[in-house]
Amino acid sequence: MVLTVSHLNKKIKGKTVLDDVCVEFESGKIYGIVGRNGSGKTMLFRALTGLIQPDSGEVLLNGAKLHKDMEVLPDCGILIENAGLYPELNGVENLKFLTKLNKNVSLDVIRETIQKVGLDPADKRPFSKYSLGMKQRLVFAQAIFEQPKVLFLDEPTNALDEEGVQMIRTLILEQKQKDHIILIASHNREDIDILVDETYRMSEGKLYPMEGSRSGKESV
Amino acid sequence: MNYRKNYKLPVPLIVGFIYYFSVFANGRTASIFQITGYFQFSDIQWVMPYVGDAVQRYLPVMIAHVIFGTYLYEHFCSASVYYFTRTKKRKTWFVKESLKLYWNVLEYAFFLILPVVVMLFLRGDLQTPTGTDVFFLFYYLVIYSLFLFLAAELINIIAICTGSGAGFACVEFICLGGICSYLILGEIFFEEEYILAHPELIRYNPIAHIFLDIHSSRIPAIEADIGRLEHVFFLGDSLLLYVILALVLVVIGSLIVSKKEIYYAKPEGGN
Repeated sequence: MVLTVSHLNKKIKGKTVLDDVCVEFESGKIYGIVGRNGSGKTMLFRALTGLIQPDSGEVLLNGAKLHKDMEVLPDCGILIENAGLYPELNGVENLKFLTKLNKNVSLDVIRETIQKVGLDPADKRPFSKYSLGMKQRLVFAQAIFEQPKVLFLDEPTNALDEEGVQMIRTLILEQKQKDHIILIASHNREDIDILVDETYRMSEGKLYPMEGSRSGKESV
Repeated sequence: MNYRKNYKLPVPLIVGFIYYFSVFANGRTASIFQITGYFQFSDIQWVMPYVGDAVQRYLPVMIAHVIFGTYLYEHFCSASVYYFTRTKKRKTWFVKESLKLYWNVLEYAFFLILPVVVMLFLRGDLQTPTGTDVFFLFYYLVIYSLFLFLAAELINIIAICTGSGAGFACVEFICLGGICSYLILGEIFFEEEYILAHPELIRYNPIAHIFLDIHSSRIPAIEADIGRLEHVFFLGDSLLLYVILALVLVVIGSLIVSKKEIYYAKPEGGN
């Protein structure tokens, strides 16, 4: 599977957020994207998933064109910094509600994934009552529970304690083993060093490959 | 959304009971025509002193706006990224959700009058329903639910574009403005004959189309119960207008939603 990005441009309210982005992502690899706040990392994820429409350029998944052959990138999972879930629903309800839109995975899978990220599937508290770390874990579970072929993770280890960070890293590497394409935007140097195969730097909407980016390790 | 299921039926039932005790528990008999007519602003005259009565009848509408005003918009809040990356065709999604919204407001309209009808029946004060009562019951369910749908859909569409506060404020301004402009007709034109001779004064008021007794019908048995404005403002015309407006709103909404870019996450729960 190949995700090809070709001359992608986007301006929002006169500000360039994506500037001629050209890159190719292959399955079985983890790609790291680093850059300052506001450099365009999250906007790139939104453009690649189809949540925003580029002004020009194209995104192709195995040759199928986004916004032409499909409205959103099929079979993708995403975690965006600061984007929450439905505040009135508990963990299981949130995932159950979301999967009905698309893949309709079983309740057992939902419970198992929630357990995997270190949460209790029997916890009846609504999402709004979760701590920051719990929210991050559940949102991560939301990104992976349908086993998407393309995974976008924006600051996946934010707000997590050491044990949570290790758990999420292990789960990301598990996804890699399944031959998925994984993109990680992170400020956490350790995440990048440990997880990614190729690193790119984003600056003022432009994406540059970083020289000497390390091959990903298979264990945490 | 699951949490709405917890109160979408109890609320109209409670409101219905409140209206039973405040309006219909006076020991007098009432027909289904009178019950549905009450919620359709029957006997509201064209003078401002009726403002209290009109607002009282408007409250169930406003409560419905609160319940259903975020029905579609809530998906554009904090979880929008996760919701819309799983929504393959947004236009189809919007049409389906609009149909569900219509079903919800239809249930609301039904459960609003149910306690009044049941309590009057149990008390033995419900007049035996006639054919025209059945007609007025169906007419009420369709026109009242369409009106609730139009308002809720508009609140949601404006909210998706600008925020939920703006959607709610805008629609309440239109509805309450419509009620007030209806009431002050008498103050401005003095002669009721003048208003009767100029139905356009009412025809262009979007809320006046649910006011039952100013309408006429081509069916003599129905016309006998209503028709303050003689043969100029027909039930069918209002129904057709609301259906057309509803279709137009669904089309506009689906176009807006399909073009909507999700480039930031709104706070949890809304605007």
